[in-house]
Amino acid sequence: MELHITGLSKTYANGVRALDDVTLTIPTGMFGLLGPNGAGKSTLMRTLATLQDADHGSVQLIGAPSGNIDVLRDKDAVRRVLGYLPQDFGVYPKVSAEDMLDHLARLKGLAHRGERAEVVAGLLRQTNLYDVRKKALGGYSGGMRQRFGIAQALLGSPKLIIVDEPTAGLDPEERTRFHNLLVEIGEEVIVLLSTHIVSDVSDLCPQLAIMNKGRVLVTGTPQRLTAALRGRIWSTSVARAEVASVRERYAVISTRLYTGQTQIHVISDDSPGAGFEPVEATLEDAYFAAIGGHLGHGRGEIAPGHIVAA
Amino acid sequence: MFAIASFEFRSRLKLLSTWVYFAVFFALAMLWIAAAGGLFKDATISFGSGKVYVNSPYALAQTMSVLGLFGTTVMAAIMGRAVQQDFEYRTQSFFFTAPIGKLQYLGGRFVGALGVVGIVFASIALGAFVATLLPGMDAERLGPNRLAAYLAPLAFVLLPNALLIGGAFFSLAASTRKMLPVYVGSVIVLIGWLLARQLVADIDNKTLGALIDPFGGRALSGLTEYWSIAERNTRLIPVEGVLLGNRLLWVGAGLLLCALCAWRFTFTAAAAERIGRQRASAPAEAADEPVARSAATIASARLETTRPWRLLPHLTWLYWRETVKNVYFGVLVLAGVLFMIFASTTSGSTFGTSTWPVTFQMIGLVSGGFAAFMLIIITFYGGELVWREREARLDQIVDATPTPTWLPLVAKLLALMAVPLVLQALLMLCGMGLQAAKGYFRFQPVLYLQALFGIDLVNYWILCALAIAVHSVVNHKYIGHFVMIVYYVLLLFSGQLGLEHNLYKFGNVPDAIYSDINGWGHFLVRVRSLQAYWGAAALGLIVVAFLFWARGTVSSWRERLVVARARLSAPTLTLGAAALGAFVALGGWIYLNTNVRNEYVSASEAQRRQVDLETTYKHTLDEPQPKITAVQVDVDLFPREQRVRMRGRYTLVNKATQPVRVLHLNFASGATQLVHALDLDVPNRLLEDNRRLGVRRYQLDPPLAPGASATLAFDLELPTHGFTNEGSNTAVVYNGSFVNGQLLLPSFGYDVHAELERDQDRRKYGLKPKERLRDRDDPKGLMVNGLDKDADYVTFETTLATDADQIAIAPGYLQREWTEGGRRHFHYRMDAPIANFFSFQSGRYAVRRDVWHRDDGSGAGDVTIEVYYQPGHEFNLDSMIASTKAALSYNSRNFGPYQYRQFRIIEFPRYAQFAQSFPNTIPYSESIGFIARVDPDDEKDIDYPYYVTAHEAAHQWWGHQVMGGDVQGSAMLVESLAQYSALMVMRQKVGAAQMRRFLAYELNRYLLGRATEQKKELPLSRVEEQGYIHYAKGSLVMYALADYLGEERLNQAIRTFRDKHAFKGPPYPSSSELVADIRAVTPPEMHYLIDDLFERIVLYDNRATKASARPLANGRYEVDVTVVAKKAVADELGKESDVPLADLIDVGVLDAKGNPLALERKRITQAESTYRFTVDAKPAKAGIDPLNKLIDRKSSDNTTPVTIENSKAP
Repeated sequence: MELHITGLSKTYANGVRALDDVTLTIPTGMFGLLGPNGAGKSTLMRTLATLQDADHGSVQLIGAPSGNIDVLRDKDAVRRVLGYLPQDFGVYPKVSAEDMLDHLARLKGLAHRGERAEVVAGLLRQTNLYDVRKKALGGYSGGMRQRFGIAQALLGSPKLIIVDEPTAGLDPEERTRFHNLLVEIGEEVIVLLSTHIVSDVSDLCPQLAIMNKGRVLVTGTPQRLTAALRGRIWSTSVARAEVASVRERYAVISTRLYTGQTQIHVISDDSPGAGFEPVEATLEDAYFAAIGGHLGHGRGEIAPGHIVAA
Repeated sequence: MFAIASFEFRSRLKLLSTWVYFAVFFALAMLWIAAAGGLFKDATISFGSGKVYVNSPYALAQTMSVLGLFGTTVMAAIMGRAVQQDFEYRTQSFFFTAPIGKLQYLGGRFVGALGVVGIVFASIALGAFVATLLPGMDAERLGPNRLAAYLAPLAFVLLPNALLIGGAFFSLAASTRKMLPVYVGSVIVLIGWLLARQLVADIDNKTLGALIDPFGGRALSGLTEYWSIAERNTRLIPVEGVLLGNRLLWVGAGLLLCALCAWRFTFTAAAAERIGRQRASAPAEAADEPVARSAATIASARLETTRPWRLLPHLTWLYWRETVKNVYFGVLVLAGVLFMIFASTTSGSTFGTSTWPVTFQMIGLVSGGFAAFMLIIITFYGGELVWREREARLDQIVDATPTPTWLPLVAKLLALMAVPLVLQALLMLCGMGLQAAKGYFRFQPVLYLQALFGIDLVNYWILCALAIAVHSVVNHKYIGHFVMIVYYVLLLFSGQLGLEHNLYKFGNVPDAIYSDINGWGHFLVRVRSLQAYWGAAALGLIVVAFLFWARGTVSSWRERLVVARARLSAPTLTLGAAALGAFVALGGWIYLNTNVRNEYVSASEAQRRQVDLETTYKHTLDEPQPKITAVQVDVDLFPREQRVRMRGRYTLVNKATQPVRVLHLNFASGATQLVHALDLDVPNRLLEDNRRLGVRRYQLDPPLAPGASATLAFDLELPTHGFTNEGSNTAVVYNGSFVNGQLLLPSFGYDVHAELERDQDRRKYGLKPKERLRDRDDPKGLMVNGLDKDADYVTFETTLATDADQIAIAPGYLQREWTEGGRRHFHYRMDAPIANFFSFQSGRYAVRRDVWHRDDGSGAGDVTIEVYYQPGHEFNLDSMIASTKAALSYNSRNFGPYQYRQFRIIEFPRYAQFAQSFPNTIPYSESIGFIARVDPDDEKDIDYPYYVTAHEAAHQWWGHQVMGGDVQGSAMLVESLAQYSALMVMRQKVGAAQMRRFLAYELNRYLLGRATEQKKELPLSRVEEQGYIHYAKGSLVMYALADYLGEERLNQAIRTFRDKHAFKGPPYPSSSELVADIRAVTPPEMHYLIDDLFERIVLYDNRATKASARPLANGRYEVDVTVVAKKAVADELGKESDVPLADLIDVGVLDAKGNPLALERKRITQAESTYRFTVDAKPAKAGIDPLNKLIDRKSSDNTTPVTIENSKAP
């Protein structure tokens, strides 16, 4: 099963180009969509989740159990295989998790009462909410609510699962718990995970794409992305006052405060000079390099070794 | 705080919704004033009277206060949302953590929002002002534009409302962080308004009613209701009296609420987010416990997405439960039910006296009393349901499920429709509960089912579809609500705006009037046709709602249109086309009935016909016409077909001095009636037959010479075809027909009374203003019978045929009754000439009989009394019969013998609400006495069946013995004298104390009536068909006169007058003759009184300023009272000028029950004077005219409480 996105574009009424000629191929398994806020990730996710229409382009789900699906046209077919966890969702505060899940299960088409009860119970167990299934959703913590969100997304054994920024706002413990949940989802389905947190992707996803300003900058495996930067990331620590002058002279991809000093990563084929140490390229470096325009050309896969000069 | 206020203010001004509200109020005010100002020919709005300028302070205050009522929803949206939106959008923490105090935060939001409401409300004044500048306005309807007239209502009515009601909404929303309590709050204020409206029906409660209206509108009306037209045009609305009290009360309540809110409001996170509190108790759970995999079951579960309709009951049930299972819904319903229970205590009240809770009355009460709540519930919950998922932010999850888009739409519609279904059942129980509580156990559950479910519920369902469709298409909750409100407003006032045809008034289904006598009668066909028609429209709307139904995150109109186009699938198109097809077909069917099978005559077309009649035939005014001297008519009534046919002949005599060259016939039913034959037995030629105006003119050749006679044989029919747009044939009905002879039989000569009367209407058509009647002493007018101009006295004979199970009645004595060909025939003949004034009735009646033995010494035989009534309506038969006997006796003894051997009262359905006196025959509506419930133990109850009967009985003298001419003042001879007889008969029964209550109603009616005079107010002896004068002022004048002259002496004068004129004419007596006869028995010192009562419009402003008493020995008291007297004479429009006093006015002392301890008639010549009395019992009040015999706008200040001084005081 594969999801083929071709030339997808979307411009909002206020003139914002949320998607700009997005072309992606997403295989089964976990796929990370990485990008800063406003990159167009949610627009892409909502478009795939049939909640809004694109202006141009096509999306095909190849090899679904019922055959190939034209995602933009045959929305109903998509919804039958879709599990969707939106970025921002609410609940009816007075309804219990069990009742809510049961209701959503019905909407998903689980018509048989006994089976539905089993599925609901199973998902509540899977998301570790079984003990609190009778409690009103209004009393759930953020992590519990997110787990409830994934439980509902898993109703009806979906083949295409879209989770939009699921870990935003979770504490580290809850985040780990949530990651554990995600990895349990079968490998035969497509799981599209959007996030702006690099470690979500590096923890979970064998494949990823980096987006910014409506464009896909690079796609590939984490290894290939970091491999492309091997030996080209350099680090130095400077006082905060000096950051601006470093920025002027070097292709800075990221800065980070560490024990009061600013740690700066620059990209350079050769050693930028004294005070810089070579560091092992991480996915985060790749992310910032891509966002900064130093990696990839906005479309398709990265050509190994191809670096765009600052 | 200023920064917050200005932020709130500016950000709201940037919102489209603010300007939508602004524009709509602006447009409504402009439309309203422009329509009242005569810009649209079809509109018929006036502020009580066409003489009140549309931009007078009074008119502007009324306009702004009424439109302000509808501003409640805007206040809910703006004031309520001011704080609540911070919670909804979760921005509260920005403010709570910022360095601002809660008072600054709340105050800032409040002031900002208030400013915006102020701007929106100002648009009403602005719209009204712009309307006055429009070209095409009737200059006579415009007074000078005064800035203060626009600002005062804004400052004293609308802004205080914004402060109070807006403040209440603001506080509710701020304290609960929800919007629903705001809706409930708006219902509570609505109840205040409804209660106020209900209360003022009883004049004792006027002040209370004025105070409890939170909007202040009732206080405004209370303050100005007795203002004359002159005052309405010139006086600025003062903030005093009940208006001041009301404003203080409610602004105080508003401030209190705001203070409470400020005190209770907390910034703390725990309270700010209830979830936060619950999070603390969030269930603990084991960390990182290995989860059991149940993927096997999860994966193997079967999906059933191909039969989504199976989900419909589940979803409907869910939505319905969500709607009704919350405290706010409960509060709403409870409020409605409580209001109904309250309203039931004054249901059908006339003269403060209620009726028996018969089922149709209770249905009117429960469905009418709750209707406003139902509309609110449907509107609000329509919005809530449509927005449910989006407000819970669950929409994306639900929208991504494999359910068809129509499913939530249909489920929500059904859930909304189930709400009125359940409420109607509740109302039915309430109605029966109220009946039982009032001791009435004749339950008619089937009738409840028919009315509440068969009719009302269907109408509500059509509204449900509209609400869902509006919210779906508008896609903005508050604007959606607002659109619904605008719809209600337009529908409510559509008639006045000249929009009359049901075909274009969505959801408008004409009422079906249930009568115990005639059941649902013929009304249901029209109701069902329109319901089907609007039902088809509703279905079409639902298809549109489906096309625009929000799914996913589509928001711009461009995107929504694309989506809508994509949803135009074959089934959708089919359904839409089916709805449209049904809509068009049913519309065609309705049109066929209203416009093809019947003539569609809009109000403006009716006016145009009056205009055309005047311009075409006015020149024939002086053509002599013959008079009818004999009427013989056979009437065939076909109740089931609502058809009547009259065959017979008039004997005509030329009583004029000139020959009759042209016979001019008018047919009241115009083109609707069929003329099968019309034969004159003298040579003639038809000159014209104007069907549209109902005129036929025949040339008589040779002319009918003076004194010559002719016979006009006629065969006329009034059929009924299908149904009409408005009104209907309520004359011939299945049971309880009441056909006036004039409905079908021709009248003669050009009739000035058929002309357009109101001057503002005449101006629209370029006609000159006209006088209503000739001068009271005009000799030409006195030659014409005021009751019917075509005859003086006629001999009358009729044969009625009707269904075999009905009794038919007409004036005259029954000669023979027989059944032939399945139809029952009645032959009546009157043995003495009568006025040309008769009617025909037919129904399945029960009859109560009695006999009055004459006690007037005339020696004539007994009089049989018969009451023809609907079985079940026995409540007041005894009272009616007792009243008949008392009235026949009083009038016979005092004024002359009763001229007939029989007296009959015949009940007719409540399609009309009056009783009318024909010779020996009184048709009497079921709604004005047959179901009255007079509690003999309640001294506040007025036995109005007794009064109405006495009044109609008196007409056998005043109207049937003595008739006036076609001149001013003749209504005084007929109606005021009948009132006088009735009052005297009534006083014998109930005593003077209760008469004061009755007269208080008459005074109220007079003062309200003169404030809404359309042309000019005249003195009693010049009255021109003005009910408030000839009934209400007539009662007051005659009652006072009997008090001043003595009943005996007054009766003697009236007897003299009657003896001169009974059964005589032409010429007919004028009111000046009666006044002269009364003056003849009046001592000279009271001649001024005769002038004041009959010849002038006099108003007193009497009041007591101080009263004190000292106890004397043996339990007596010495009372000193200081009074102020003032007398003014008013002109035609109520402009008053003070006149010097030399009047005989009562001064006296009352006990605690209001009965006089001392009463002396003093000649008062000074404004202020002091009097001393010695009384036998403890005085409670003292003052001037303490029993309110004179006309005084403020009766309550005539007396003042007596302060009892310490006996030891110096």
